[in-house]
Amino acid sequence: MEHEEIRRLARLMEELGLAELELEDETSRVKLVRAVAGAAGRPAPGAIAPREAGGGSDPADAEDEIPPGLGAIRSPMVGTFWRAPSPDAPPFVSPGDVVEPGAVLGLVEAMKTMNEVVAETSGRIVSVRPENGAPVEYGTVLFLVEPVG
Amino acid sequence: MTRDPVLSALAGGDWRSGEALAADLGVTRAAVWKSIERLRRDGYEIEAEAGRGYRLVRATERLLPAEIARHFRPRRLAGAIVHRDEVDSTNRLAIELAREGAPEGTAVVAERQTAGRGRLGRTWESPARLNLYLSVILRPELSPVEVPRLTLAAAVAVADAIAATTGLRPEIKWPNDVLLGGRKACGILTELEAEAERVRFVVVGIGVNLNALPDDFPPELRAKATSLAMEIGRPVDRAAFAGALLGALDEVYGEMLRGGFAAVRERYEAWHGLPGRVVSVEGGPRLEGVVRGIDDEGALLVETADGVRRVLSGEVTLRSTYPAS
Repeated sequence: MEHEEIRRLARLMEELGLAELELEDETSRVKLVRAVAGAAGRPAPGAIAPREAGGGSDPADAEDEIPPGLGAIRSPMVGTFWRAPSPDAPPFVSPGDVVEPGAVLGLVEAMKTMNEVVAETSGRIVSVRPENGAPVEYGTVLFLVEPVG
Repeated sequence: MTRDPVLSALAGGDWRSGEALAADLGVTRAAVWKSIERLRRDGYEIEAEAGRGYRLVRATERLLPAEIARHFRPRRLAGAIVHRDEVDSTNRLAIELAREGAPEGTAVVAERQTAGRGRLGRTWESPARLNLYLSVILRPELSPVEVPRLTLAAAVAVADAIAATTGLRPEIKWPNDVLLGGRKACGILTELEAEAERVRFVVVGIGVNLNALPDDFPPELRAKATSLAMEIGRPVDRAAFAGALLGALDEVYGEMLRGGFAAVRERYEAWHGLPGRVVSVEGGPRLEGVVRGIDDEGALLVETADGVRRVLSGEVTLRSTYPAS
């Protein structure tokens, strides 16, 4: 089974809150087990859910904390985050800016491939999380957005 | 892209009378005359003489789609070729066309770019009618995470096309610079637009220095840049090169969609010039070490004092031109 496929399954498990997944086809068999706090799964990325009292809190959770009422725009890939189209250009967006769907918010670069991070809905930029030029992971929160309209 | 039938009839370089052309092609003599006029406007040099007819003296020097199509038999990338004498950036235009729904394989070529784009706002030197400035729209069924590997596949296509048309042995410098004799002959800028899990489109922009001579480069680039013509000592047929490149891109793209990057990796490594060399990486995780190759995801493997590290982004600089032990 391709590495990529396993990643995809792992993401699916997280999304659906599954603790265990076993899959078999002609060529391979894979069993994925995920540590889940308590009986319920972790909320899907970006979802807003109440925290369990006394629930475990690892550093990734703290970083992923999305204040109630805000949406998170996450990195689609591992790479380098750029706030501006070039080093001497102004940033695409700054906190306070209201953006329309389709607006370019930033770039994530991997292997000289420029991925435009585009707003899917209209909203007000509340914060830009990573520093310009910082390495980001798949799913790293790039922007916090307050829905408008 | 069909070629003008009058042009095809004249391609042999012999005199053909207007009457014979009209009869052979089943059109009126006025239609033949119109075609001749259009071809001349497109830059074909056609001689006309009373009693003898027409003769093609020289094909156009413009990179017209019909000329490229003579050297390219599309499989997957069977889109239109859009030609511009001048454009700000072929990538910019391709992105605009992709947003308007242009199908996979649509290619944009220009004789000249007034604002040729490089990485992070850098410019790509794009003098008129000398080189190739090409952007291709792809709509792959890939997750955004997999797309950067396409830019490595594009470098393989460029290296293949250079080798096939000139016999030169290019070298790829990870991720996607193509060098001749250690100097840069090609730059690739891939841009994609995606949702979280779905790619809307990818534009692969490829600039290849074909017929530029030292004086065509700004002074600060002369030591670092080269062209195919400078390396082989004669001009390159731009349309033939463009066709060869599109063909190679079509092939390597199909291979990658069928078998993932793993299917392309061996071809990449055949051209890769970094393995065994000492490099430093900046603009991502900062590190220094000896390149050990790439992995099945296209990441550069660098052996540092702390073990082998995977590099996915950043600028790689050669620290030494000698192979490290």
